Amino acid sequence: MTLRQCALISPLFALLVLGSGARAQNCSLAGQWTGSYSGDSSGSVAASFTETGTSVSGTVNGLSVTGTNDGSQVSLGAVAKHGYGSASGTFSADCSTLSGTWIAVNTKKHKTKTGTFTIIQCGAPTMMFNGANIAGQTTSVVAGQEIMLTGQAPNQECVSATVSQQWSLPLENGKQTKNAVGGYTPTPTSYATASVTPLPTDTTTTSYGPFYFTSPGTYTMTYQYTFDINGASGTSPVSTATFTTDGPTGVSLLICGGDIDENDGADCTGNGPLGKVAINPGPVLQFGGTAGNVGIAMTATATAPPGNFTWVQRIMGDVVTATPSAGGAVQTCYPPEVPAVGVFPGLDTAYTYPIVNPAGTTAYDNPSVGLPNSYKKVSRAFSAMMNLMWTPTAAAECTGDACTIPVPLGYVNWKVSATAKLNKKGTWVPSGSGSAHEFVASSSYPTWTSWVTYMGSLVCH
Amino acid sequence: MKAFRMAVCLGAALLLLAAAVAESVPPFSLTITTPHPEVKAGSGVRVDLTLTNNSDRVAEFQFTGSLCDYAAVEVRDSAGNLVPDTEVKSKSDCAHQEITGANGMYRLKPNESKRDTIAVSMFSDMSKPGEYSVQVMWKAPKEFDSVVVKSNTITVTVTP
Repeated sequence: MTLRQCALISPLFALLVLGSGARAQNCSLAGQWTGSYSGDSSGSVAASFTETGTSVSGTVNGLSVTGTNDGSQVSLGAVAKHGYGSASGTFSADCSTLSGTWIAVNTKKHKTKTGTFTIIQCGAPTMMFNGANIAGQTTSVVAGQEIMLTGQAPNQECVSATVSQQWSLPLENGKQTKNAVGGYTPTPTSYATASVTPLPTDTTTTSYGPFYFTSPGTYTMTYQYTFDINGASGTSPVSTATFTTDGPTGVSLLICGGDIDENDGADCTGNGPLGKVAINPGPVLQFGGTAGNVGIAMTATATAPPGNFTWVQRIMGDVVTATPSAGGAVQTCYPPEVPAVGVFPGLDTAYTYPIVNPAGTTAYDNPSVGLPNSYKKVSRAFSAMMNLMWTPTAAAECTGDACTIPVPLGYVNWKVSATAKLNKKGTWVPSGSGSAHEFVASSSYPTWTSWVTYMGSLVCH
Repeated sequence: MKAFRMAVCLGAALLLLAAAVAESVPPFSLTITTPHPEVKAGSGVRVDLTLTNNSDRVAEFQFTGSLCDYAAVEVRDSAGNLVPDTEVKSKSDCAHQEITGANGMYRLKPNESKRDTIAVSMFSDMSKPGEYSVQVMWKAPKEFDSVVVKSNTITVTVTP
């Protein structure tokens, strides 16, 4: 056996005494350990152990070794290949470090070599969420709730020795889930455009997030790190956090209109006929717009944790054609829109959709267009997509706009085709109707790059 | 007889006074607040409004959810000057609002309130750090003589 070989296996031997008496915890030697030894020679130690009861087996610097561990005392016998030497050690209070002495005998140049060793177990990392370690745990969250995770080795030695880190992306049944996003951009103070922020792509830093689950379900995240201690490197076990995500279920949406009491914030009690196209004071050509003739109402119901429905309407098309009374070409007109008119889809008026009942369970609409004297016929082709979303109630301790985002539930496509003609008596006569498709459940977010502000006059060509 | 006449006169005067007092109570009140009185430059400023019907009559009006629902939204800098409009507002023309998308009917019974929100900073340039005052005006329906209701004034501080 060479001195080098001796040095490599030296830290193993000796053991036999274990330290300072029994302690309350039951420290396990199972897993991967790294560290260093010193004495007549010095070097690094990379060890891996398994345990069966109090019996220990494993390798130290690639050489097999067996021993015992009763939870407070570790004794490693001779390296099997060579049959000499021993080591003994004692655990640190948190079981992460094993320190002891080694004795190697029968070397060629030295009858006896002694020294000390310290090896550290870089075990499963912590995964912190809202101040708690959720590694290995199942944590309850809500769809639309901000999630920010921080990972870390379980002890300071391994934190200092961490070389790299690796997060998984949000997983569902072991595969990346489609039900998670990095954010949703519109806010009540900035909604000219809207987009979905992708999940963070950097999975190699201490923290991962923010991200949001967008549907109820069970999801997981994993985290591990690599380390290097005195040249001995390794990879930690993988820590897994499981999220059971609550959210709206049993979502349904009823569509009605006509003789319901919008003024009192009434809900639809069933699917029913929509309102009628009418001429209302102004004069305006309007879909509904008076008591007893509501254009369209949509009422959502669901079983859900604390939160509110969020409505967003996008204009899919809105064109007015107007025939001048004095003759001339028919004009094609569009509502005011930024950055350019006639571009659809565009957000309808505001985010979130503003015409809802106090409970937020029903959204109404009665779109109208003015009827100037200068025209004898005005037609409007209006189509919209009402998106139903749901936003959880933010936790009291969370502040800021990012605590929650809405999660999509589905949408309704509906449209109105309306015409007003000026008759010989100088009276506007309405015609046309509105219609709506059934609610379609969907997990797609409504996005837009255009905003139909409706703040002004028609823009005609 | 003289005492009786004096009593009648006094009673009439009291009735007139009561009527005058009643008449002086504005039919509506508009209260504004902001959830974030101090924001960083570049952050949006939001104002929450509560319109209350203080009259003894039902008020009916249409509401579109846009800035055009209000007679004015005045944002002033610390010197009292109106701040510039944003591009969106400068392109708008609420005096000639001819077409609506979102549109609802509202009926406020006596003592009932309606809540709303305005993204003020989307329409008034509040990008520079400083102290801004915000006041909103709402025009009542014709049945209420189109009286203009002024809100309280709030202060929003934009920090660097």
